[in-house]
Amino acid sequence: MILLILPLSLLLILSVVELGRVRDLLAAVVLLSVYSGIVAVSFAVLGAVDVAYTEAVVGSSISTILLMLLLARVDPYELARGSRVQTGIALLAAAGVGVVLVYGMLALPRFGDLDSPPSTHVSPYYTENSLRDSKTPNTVTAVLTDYRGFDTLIETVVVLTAALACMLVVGAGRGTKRAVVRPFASLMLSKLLGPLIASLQLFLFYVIMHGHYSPGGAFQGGTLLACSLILPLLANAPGAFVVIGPRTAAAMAVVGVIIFGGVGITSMLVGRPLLDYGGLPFGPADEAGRRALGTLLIEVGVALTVAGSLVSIYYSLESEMEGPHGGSS
Amino acid sequence: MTDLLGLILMISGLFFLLIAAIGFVRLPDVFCRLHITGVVDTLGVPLMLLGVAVYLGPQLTSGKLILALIFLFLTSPLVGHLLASSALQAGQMPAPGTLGTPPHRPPKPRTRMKARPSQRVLRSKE
Repeated sequence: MILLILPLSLLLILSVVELGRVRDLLAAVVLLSVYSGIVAVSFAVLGAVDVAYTEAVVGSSISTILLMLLLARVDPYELARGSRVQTGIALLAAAGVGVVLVYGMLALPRFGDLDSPPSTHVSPYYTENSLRDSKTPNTVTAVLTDYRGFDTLIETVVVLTAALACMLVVGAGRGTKRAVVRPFASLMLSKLLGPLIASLQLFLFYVIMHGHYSPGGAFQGGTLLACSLILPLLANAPGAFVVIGPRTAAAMAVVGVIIFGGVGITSMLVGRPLLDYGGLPFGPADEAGRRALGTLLIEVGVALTVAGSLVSIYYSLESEMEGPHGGSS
Repeated sequence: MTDLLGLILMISGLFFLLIAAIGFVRLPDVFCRLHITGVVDTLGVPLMLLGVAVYLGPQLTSGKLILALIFLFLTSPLVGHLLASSALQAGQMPAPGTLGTPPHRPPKPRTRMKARPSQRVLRSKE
């Protein structure tokens, strides 16, 4: 374990130091992606496969795409450095925060410590009871959608709020009916994009559907769905693929939250607690089947919200690109 | 036996990764660097994946690794091609020493007296 984590931590520190050093913002975005990749590998090494998965798809793929879109709009070079005093103050502040964080970390139990509070109370409870309580084989999914279903519902609303804020501040975008600019007529791209997007979509459906049983689920699958919808736009080939416009994307995000909240309220209507999937009035007769159906429904809702929000944010940033610099619509 | 074979594959993959890293630092321009990082995707990582798959033997994980390998072989040439063409469009030029001889100009003869027949033909056209 330590042999794997130590080099990863060193790489992490190196990437952050380099991130502070580079002046080219494009390089900074690439370094951020590298940073996320290393964090994802670290999570996987520490056994948190679900989190690693999310970090890999969100941190190192789609946020890189969105940040690069932003850089296409602004001047990708940092302006002149601050004065020595400013740099000194910034370094001091960073060092101070670092000291506080390290000091706080000293109070944490060692990784995998069996006597620590999480290992003596929370983890054993979930490990022993999650299958009986929620009938969900994947403990992480059981915690995410069942024990803390309300938390996840609010998280989904937060994602939607982020997209709404982006639309309100920057604009919702004009969609795909613009003049198509083809920066490179690449035979390889046109031949390979279709199969790649098809396999990506096949995979993301597996990720969403199988989140009940194995690592993965709605947040990861939704991000991959957003990727598969954005890729044709990035490749300037919107005509050949299923591409949703900015209005549909926003509607998708809202419908996702409605599905999630609807499942929760449905279980309340029949006299059970909010988001108690065992009490759903429809679906299979046995409780396990109803719980699987409820989980699947909210996973689909979350995936729709995540994908719709990300595509909306993409359109917001892209609509900025169509301003004075971009082509006419 | 499969252990040993897997290890050999992984170590040879590591060797190509090392070569690529050295090349990436030492080569002068974008195109040369793309050329050497292509080794990562065509030999380095595939050999590692194949090594792990052989090491694990026939099971589900090995199948996933082979699938990853196939996707790598699909995407790597595409990405290399797109990066090179974007770099060229963005105004990146090959470094002076790496240009080689442009195809429209006959290569300089080593000794001026002995020109090969093909060059004579080209010169007579001028």
